Parts: sequence; structure tokens; C-alpha cells
Amino acid sequence: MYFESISELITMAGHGKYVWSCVTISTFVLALVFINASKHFNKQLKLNTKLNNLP
Amino acid sequence: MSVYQAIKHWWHKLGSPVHFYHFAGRHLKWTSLLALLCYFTGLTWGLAFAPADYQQGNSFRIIYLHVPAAALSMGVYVSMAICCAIGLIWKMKLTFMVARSLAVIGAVFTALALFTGSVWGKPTWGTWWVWDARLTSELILLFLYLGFISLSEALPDRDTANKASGILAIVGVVNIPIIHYSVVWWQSLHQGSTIFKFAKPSIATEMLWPLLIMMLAFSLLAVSYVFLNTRTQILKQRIKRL
Amino acid sequence: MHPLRRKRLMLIIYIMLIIAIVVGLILYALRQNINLFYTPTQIINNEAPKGVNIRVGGLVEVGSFKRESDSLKSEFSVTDTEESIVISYEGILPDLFREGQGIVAKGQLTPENRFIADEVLAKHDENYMPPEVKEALEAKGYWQHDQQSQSTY
Repeated sequence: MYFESISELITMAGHGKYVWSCVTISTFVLALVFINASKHFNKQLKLNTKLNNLP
Repeated sequence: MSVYQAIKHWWHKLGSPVHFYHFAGRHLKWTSLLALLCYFTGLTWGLAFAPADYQQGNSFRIIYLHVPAAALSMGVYVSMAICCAIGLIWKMKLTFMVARSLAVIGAVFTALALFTGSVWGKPTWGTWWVWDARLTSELILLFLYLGFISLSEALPDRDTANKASGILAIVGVVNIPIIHYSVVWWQSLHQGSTIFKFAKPSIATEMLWPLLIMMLAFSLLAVSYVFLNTRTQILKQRIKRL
Repeated sequence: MHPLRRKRLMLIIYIMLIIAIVVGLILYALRQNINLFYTPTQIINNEAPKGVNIRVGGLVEVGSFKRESDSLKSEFSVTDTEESIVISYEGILPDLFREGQGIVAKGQLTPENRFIADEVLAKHDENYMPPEVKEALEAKGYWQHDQQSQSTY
């Protein structure tokens, strides 16, 4: 690893708050988008299956 | 079957929502798994193993999110515009569904590019935002995406919605070269291109590799989202028809 | 190609062409407004308004940086390799500020072509490398301060 310790990985010589806020928010947003899309799909699939209307 | 006939056959199959539904269903698993693998590998490599930059120190690591998001925000828009053009010319409903999926993931990428760029700007440039050509045109791109999504949702008739949003998408393509060349054509705070240029990338190899992996990750995320979201649209459309 | 489809394709191409030309003309007409900053050459040529908030951009001239010992006041020259002007600034300078580096300052121009800045932002180029690589390039004499491949100075 480039950093000497995990705590150095977190602080990144003062830039940690910038880098890690980007990482956490980006990952969170992307996860949310996909989880949402998945939920919508499953809901729709159930509906179509009930109405017996599948491709 | 000759090559020409094979292509024609493939082209017509492509327009079939049923075919796309099953095609996307088959491939979604591996594209999303590979996307996840690339995402976490690229980030881990870039954040913890790549060396720090001589000038920007560790803040440069935001590049591993910012550049893929920004690059894909443009690539996805062009793909969306092409889908709309094909949809308008060949009157294919499926391409508009794909375009709508692309609009959502494209808007997300654009927002992430703007956000990560802003956070990166504070410790390096000294500001969260400036109205230079690059930043402003990327913000305009976000508005184009949102405009496209609004038009396609707000208009009650599907065909009118497709036509209106499709024309917006095509007209907005002019913004893409503006974003890319903004740092060349005008004086700006944002620097020039590091990788997207007709020259050797001006980034050290050990910093470049995780960046390429993240580019692949974001590309696969976009493809996966299109597969997932378009399948939902296809299912929805089958019920509407009743 | 199906004649109706060709017609639609042509229409799309025409629309794109017209939009490109219109947008191109608008951007060309507004180009000075789209530039984020004036260059020192433009300032010397009296192309920049005095007494209003404007931005100036350029490279910090090596050897020109002066700072008062017990205040945040500093003074430095900024050049575009042809002309240079002096900028006075009171405040904390960004981390990336150094001689030979690009900056963008916001402030007002005095009648004597001195620039009083209230904000100084640092520019950086598009090169990324670890410190060892930079030192190696410097040792070999391949290093130029803040080299920009797409120089707009």
C-alpha cells in the first residue's frame, strides 16, 4: 500500500475529507440508483406475471 | 446467409422488445458483476496503492471517480442521441426506451462529475465552483438530461414524447464538442485533457491503470443500468397495451 | 434506403448542421465573455475595463513574489510570456500557488494598470506523476514549469 497505515489512508495528509466524501457519496448514489432500478423491475415483473403477460 | 443479410436480420431483431428483453436478461448478470469487480478493484488500487501526485498530493485520487463520470456523461449522451435518431428515422419504440434508460444513468454520471469536480477544486484551485467554459457546459449537459427526462415523462402521448425528447437530445449534441474543446477554445480554470487527446496520456502508468479500470467500471455500470431499466419499461409497455 | 427514412435522416442532419452553425456563431460573438480571464497582454493593450470586477490569468513570474513579513499582503507579477502585470493581494494563497505556476486572480484594475485582487486561484496542468518521476525529469533537464500541451496563455 502507498500509505504507511490505515489511519494515514483515511487522513491522506489533510486531503482525506475531500477524497473520502467523494468516494462515499458516489458509491452511495450509484448503489441507490441500482437498488431502486432492481426494486422497480421486480415489482413490475410480479405484476406482469400475475397478469400472465411476459415476453 | 450473406453478411449483408445477417446484419439486416440482426438489425431487425434488435428492434424487437421481446428479443432485447431476453438478450438483456442473459447478459445483465455478468455485466453488473464485472462492473462491481472493476469498480472496487479500480478504487482500491487508485485510492490505496497508486502513488500521490507530485503537485496535487492525495487530492488527485478523486480522478478515479471524476474522470470516468465526466467521460461517460458525454459518451452516454451521444449514445442517447444516436438511439433517438435511429428511433425517429426507423420509428422504433425500443430505441426510445433505451434512450430513456441512458438519460437517467447519464444524468447521474453528470451530477457525480460536477460534485466530485467541485470537491476536487476546493483544495487544488481554491474554489468549489467557477463559471468557466468547462464547468458551465457540463452543468448545461445536466440540464439537457433533465430536460430530456421531463419531456419524455410529462407529455401524455408516447409518440409525441418520443419525438420532442428525441429532438432535444439530437439538438443538444452540439454541447458535447463544446465541453471537450472548452479548455482549448477559451481561457478557463479547468486544465486541458490528460487522456482524451491525440497524444500520449500525460499521466504516469501506475496512476493510469486504475483509471482505465474505473472507465471500464462506469461503462459497464451504464450498460447494466440500460439492461435493467429497459427491461422494466418493456414489461410496463406490455401491460399498457391491454 | 427507404425513401421516407432517408428523408428523416436528412432532416436530422440539416437540423444538426443549422444548430451547429447558429451555436458556433453565438459562441464566436460572445467569445470574450466566455473567457474566464483577461491575459496580461490584453490588460496592457487596454482591452480590459478598469474599476470593475474582472479576472486576470497568467503564470507567476519567477522571482517576483514578495510578501510582507507580518501580514497576509503579497505582491507578484503575472505573465503570459509576452507581457506582465503586477498583482497585489491580501489573504491566504492557495496551496498550489508557487512561482512559475498558473493562477487566476479576481479583482479590479487601477488606472495605473496595477491589479488589486480579492481572490487568487491556482491553476494546475493536466500532467499527473509521482514526485520521483518529476525529479528525474528535472534532473534530465526535460522539466518546464507548468507545461500545458494546450497552452492558452
